[in-house]
Amino acid sequence: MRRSTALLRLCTGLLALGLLVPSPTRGQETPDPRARARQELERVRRGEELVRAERSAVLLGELIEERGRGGRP
Amino acid sequence: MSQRRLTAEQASLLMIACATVSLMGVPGFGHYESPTGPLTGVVLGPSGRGLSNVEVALFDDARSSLVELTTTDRNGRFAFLQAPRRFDVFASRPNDPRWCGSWVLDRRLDTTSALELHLSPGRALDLRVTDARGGPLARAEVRVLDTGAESAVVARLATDEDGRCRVHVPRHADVMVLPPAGEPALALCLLAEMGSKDVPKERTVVLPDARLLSGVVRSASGDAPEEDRAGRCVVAWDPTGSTWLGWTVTNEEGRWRMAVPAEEVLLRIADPTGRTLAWEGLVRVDDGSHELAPVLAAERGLRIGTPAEPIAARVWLLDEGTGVWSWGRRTDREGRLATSVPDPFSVVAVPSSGARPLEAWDRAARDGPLQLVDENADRVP
Repeated sequence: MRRSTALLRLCTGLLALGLLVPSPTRGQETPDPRARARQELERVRRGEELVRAERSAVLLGELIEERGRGGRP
Repeated sequence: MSQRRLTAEQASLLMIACATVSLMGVPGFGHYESPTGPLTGVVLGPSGRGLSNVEVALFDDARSSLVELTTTDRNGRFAFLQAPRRFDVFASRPNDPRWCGSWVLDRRLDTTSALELHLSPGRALDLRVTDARGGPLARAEVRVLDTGAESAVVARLATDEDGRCRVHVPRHADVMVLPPAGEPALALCLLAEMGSKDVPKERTVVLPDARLLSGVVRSASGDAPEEDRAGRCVVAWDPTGSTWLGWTVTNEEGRWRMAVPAEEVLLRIADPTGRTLAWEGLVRVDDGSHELAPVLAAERGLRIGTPAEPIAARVWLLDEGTGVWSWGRRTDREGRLATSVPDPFSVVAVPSSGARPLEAWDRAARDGPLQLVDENADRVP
């Protein structure tokens, strides 16, 4: 067998082996930056909702105080 | 004069006519008058029928104050004599806490005159609130948040001497438990999605020991320092961003402090006025006071909708350089919003109607006015 043919077979074999052996990163999809950004936005929106709810808490507190006084505004 | 006797049919008809006339004269039968006023509405139960004896409270949005209380009639209808230009309304049955209250928030008189509120019985949850050592916490504040539409607090209660409290929660609900007043060493606890039937009816809530995190927002420009640093919203999560830990607002000097149950938090400082860009990062509680100078950016106009039909929406901008989202701000009724814009940036607009969000990605701030028309946003010169 000529040296060049043997080298070619070796390279082909190594390439095939490389494709067959599972790589730790193979099969893992690159995270979609937009999907990640949308996920982050959900967190941000949720945090803002909780902050905005404070206004209703304050108004409700005023109503509870008014009930406690037993009067009407 | 001859007398005629009534036949049986004629007598029956006469009796029916008399009965109808007399019943129409009875108050409340066939003679219903709906309450009148500049602001009217109806409170409906789960079956869609009007609910009587519901207390309805009117708040003046500009003054943030309660201005009128009324009660629904037998058909669930109510009317207010006053009509603030911007208002909020809360309906509840305070004597029957099984019914969860309901809000309509931030309405304008020029666009709203008839209101519809919905009440439904809630699911009972028995909470026992303790500190980290298992000691019961009396007078801890328990808030029920209805997260079905716009999040709003529909009940505020306090634990008894044994740290116990019964709440009734709607189908979509969070429960927030805050430490008793004067307990800075404890942090609050947020229980998410407590309205599900899968959630046990009894729950022990442990308020964790807190560490004090503080900081200051410095002025970004010399000419208007207070505008740059006061009223910034500071929100904290655990480092993974999965657990919400609390929030506070900067004072006139730009200073803020909050109790957090962690050594390291994901901190977010955002500007509800949209004048400066938001900041986000991991900070350690032990690192002392955290200083931040807000970044000013060029203001530009956004318009949400088609040329023919504007869409009122809440709009978030993503700073593509830092990966941080802005505070979500509402457009006007014409779908317009003026806000500082990072460069490059992306936009997500969530229509007030509940329609699907509109998105535009990887835009340059130097471009002309942005107009979102559908999921794949379009620009006009």
